[in-house]
Amino acid sequence: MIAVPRKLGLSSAALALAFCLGGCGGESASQAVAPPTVAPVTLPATTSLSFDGCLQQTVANGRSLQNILIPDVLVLDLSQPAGFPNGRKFDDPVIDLEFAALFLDLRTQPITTFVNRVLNPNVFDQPLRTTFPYYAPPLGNPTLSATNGVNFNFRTDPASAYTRVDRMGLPAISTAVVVGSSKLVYNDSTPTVDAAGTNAPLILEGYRNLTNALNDDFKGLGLTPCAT
Amino acid sequence: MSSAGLASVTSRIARKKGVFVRTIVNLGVFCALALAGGGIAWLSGSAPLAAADHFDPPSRVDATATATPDIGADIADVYLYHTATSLIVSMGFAGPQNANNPAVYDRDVDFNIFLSNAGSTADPEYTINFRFGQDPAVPNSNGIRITGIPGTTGPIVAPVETIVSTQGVRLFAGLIDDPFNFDATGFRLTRETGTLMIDKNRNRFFGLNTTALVIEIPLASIRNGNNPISAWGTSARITRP
Repeated sequence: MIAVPRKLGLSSAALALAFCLGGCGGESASQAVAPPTVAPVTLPATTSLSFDGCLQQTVANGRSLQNILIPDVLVLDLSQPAGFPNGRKFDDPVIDLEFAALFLDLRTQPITTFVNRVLNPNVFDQPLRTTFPYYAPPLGNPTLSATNGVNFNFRTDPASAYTRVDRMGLPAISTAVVVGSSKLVYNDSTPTVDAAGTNAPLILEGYRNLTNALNDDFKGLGLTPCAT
Repeated sequence: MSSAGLASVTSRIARKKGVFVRTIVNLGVFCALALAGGGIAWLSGSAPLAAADHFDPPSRVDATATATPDIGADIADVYLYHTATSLIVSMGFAGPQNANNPAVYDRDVDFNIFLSNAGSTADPEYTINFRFGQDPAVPNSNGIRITGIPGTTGPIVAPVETIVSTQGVRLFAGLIDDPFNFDATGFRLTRETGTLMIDKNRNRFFGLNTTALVIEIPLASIRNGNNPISAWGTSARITRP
């Protein structure tokens, strides 16, 4: 059964339905509580894998994977220590954490599984600064901007005069999970549209394909995938 | 399992799948790939490179995918964290760049960082807007104009590469060492082969810089009870006639 996170209310229920149409079992689909406001998902490949366990598993701070992926924003609970997926710090090993959250059964393996095994590189050029602006200074010998300018020629055009190029919330979702022509649609969209479930098929398509390709790899490594 | 063991198993699986893929292609039954697994079917949609958000969407910002990459508007990363007293939010862009290259402050790009503190994480209560400009009278000068930082009023204008402290907030726009790490080559190979081929010793972002904005805000200016804080960013380019 799909649990609808209370925070997102009806929009999350619509998302749950979108995921079900794409990848859940028939029983789950029949128990979805939202009206059918999201078009059925057409996927490029067939699979018998169920994503129920992945999307509904608790990743951190009581948040499910579904709740983390949708909408595409960073969320920070101020009552908890910061660090991805609770916000994102400069040196968080986000790729390894995301891989575990997306693909592993977190009931039996910690979200730090790939961090501990060091799947993705996680070596820094130099230490972060302990004082503002916290980033490490630039490498090499680049020419830095002069700091004595006063009368800058900023554009005063209204926001409507600009055309969207890029958007970002979560690391690596648009880049690594959303694929093909869906990328432009996704980057031109908004978290509000995400939350309505409209963009869920764009994520699910790439997520399913990654899972289909890599599930046996994870099993080969002695790990337990969340998709079954 | 040790990381060496992980690499060994990964390599073994790679060899296994390599044989499989070559066999299928040699038979000339390309459509069989789609039936054999979604990972193979999804190859045609692969991007040349992938990262946190660097180079994405490729058809707009990646030099390997378009002859006119919009580097100045390419968001690299968004960060959001807190300390006991403050919230730090940052967005990097126009990177990664080779270490000796200058920062990119594109006058024709409009950036927004959205913050929400009202419970629904998708609807912003705050829009931090910033643009860059140059002072024609001062060579190689760049300034930032920023509005909408919680707890502040009016636009804040300052040269880049300086730490600005005003109205209780601090901000800095400038060139920094890009802290992100990713084996983009390994991920591309993973997409192409359907086999996990990420290598911890291969880092696309090693030794590279990025341009970034960092803002530090007193928690008291943004905290709203027990509601979470959410953040995301956008870039947009002036539309030419």
